[in-house]
Amino acid sequence: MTYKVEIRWHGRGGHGLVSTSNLLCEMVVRKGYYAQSIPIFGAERRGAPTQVFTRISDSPIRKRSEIKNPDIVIVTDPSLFNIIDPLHGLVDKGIVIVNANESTEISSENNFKIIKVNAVEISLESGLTVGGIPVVTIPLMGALLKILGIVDLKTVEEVIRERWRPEIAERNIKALKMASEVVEIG
Amino acid sequence: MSRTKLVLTGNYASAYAVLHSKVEIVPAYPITPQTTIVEKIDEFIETGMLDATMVRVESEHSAMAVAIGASAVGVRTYTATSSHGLLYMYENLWWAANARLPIVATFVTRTLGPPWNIWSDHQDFMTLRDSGWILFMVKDAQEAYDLTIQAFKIAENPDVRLPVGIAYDAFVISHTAEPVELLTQEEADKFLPSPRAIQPLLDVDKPYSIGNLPRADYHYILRKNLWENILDAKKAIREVGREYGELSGRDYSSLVEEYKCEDADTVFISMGAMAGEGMDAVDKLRDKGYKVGHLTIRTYRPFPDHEIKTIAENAKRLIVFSRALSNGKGGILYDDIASTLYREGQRIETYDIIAGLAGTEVSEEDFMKIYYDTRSGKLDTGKSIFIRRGEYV
Repeated sequence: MTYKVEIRWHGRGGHGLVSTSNLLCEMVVRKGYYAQSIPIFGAERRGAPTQVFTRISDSPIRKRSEIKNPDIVIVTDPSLFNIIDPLHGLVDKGIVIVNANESTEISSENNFKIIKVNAVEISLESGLTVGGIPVVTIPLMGALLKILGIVDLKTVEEVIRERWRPEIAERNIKALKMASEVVEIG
Repeated sequence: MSRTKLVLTGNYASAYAVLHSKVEIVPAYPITPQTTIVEKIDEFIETGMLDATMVRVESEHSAMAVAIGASAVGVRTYTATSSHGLLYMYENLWWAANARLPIVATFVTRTLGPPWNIWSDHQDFMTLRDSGWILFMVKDAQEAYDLTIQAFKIAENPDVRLPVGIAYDAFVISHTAEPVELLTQEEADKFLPSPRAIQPLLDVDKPYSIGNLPRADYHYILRKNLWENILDAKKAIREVGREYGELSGRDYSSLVEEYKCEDADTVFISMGAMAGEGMDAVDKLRDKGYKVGHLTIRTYRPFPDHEIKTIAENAKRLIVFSRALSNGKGGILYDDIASTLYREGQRIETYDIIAGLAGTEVSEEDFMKIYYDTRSGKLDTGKSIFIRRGEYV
């Protein structure tokens, strides 16, 4: 049985989508998977809608085109639903991980599984901010890692600690752990 | 030291190859999407990992001028550019080839304007077709790393003595991160000759000038020598590729990459990032029982005539995808293939597909659609066929 997951990230310029997708690839590659992180570049500027694609597979990945039918969509800002359709092409029973609090309405007529992660709150509580702005992509990745279930916590921590100095690494790890607790697998 | 596997963009993979090749001078001017190559090299230099000089020039023209000067005194030289930067460098690119300087450069392909565009097509790269540079086009970050290291060994081979360019598509390769296995520094050191083995063209102790006005009859022979040497370079490319394969487990002894071509009646031919889509399309079509293969042109100059001839002996239909256009003529890669077939006296069905211009995506579905439409006779063999995101335009 082959393992293939296609993930599409929707966010805004400055959210750190590219770095987070690359970080995810590092973690899964360390577990022996193949991965690919494709940023879509246009006239990027802070705050403008952006997209990144992540492919994960247990065999080498040849194609490099945009992901049209993702298995999982990640949305870093619920206000994006007002200006684009982040769920377009999402597969049947696809998963949506969105940065939102419980009261935020995310409506979908399809049978998608919508997982709300209050990434802002988690980041603030973990002290994970850059220039006072919460880093929302890390908690969202925490939820994603729980759903994927292919990277153990030890590897996650190892990759994070290689990338950041101890103080910052611990904040990232705390945010990832808090987010994964939000997600119920079922 | 054991080998490491890192998640790298195509551009970072190139920068690591430069690091491991112990390049000594990098004159460069930034342009999207090349910029992160030279930024990363600068980081290697600033952190003391690479003992090289970064020359911050005021233009691409000057970047290649500095490269020419450095290479002429026998220093291992590297630069990189894209698109309008490549065209601004153009005069000196020809100078480097005619002066037989073993410079290595990366060309991240990007559409030429106007209108302004940062995405990939191969129009900029194709302007180098006749220049005398040995030209590779790679399809992923691993190949970018592997061939950049091999490029120095090929360029500096005394029987070759030509500049080598490694090209790849903007963003879909340059900025896409994927696993890349790196050689250890010890392995790279053992594989590559010392830069001191480069025979300098200029010597400060024995001053003389190069490039002065020769007699036309003599100059004609110089041109023929270059032509012979670039054709003979196929031998060096195969030999270096074989050696690299023994070292790394990734074989580059062929100028092309054949995928399921042995029994194929139809073969797609493409180069660069779209080749992966072409191979995925082959798998899908094979599942349906169609005998299809894909040929990736990795060495573009010298052109793999022999390999094309062999493919055409077994196939009855070649579908060539060009991502660059000779305006007023047709797909540039198609013309290369067609002229090879004509010279070899091979008359088989060929299709000239123009795809991916201006950074439009070429997908597996495009390859499949084209295949079905050639089978059903919907497409004309005599015309350039333009397809943009699944639609004929």
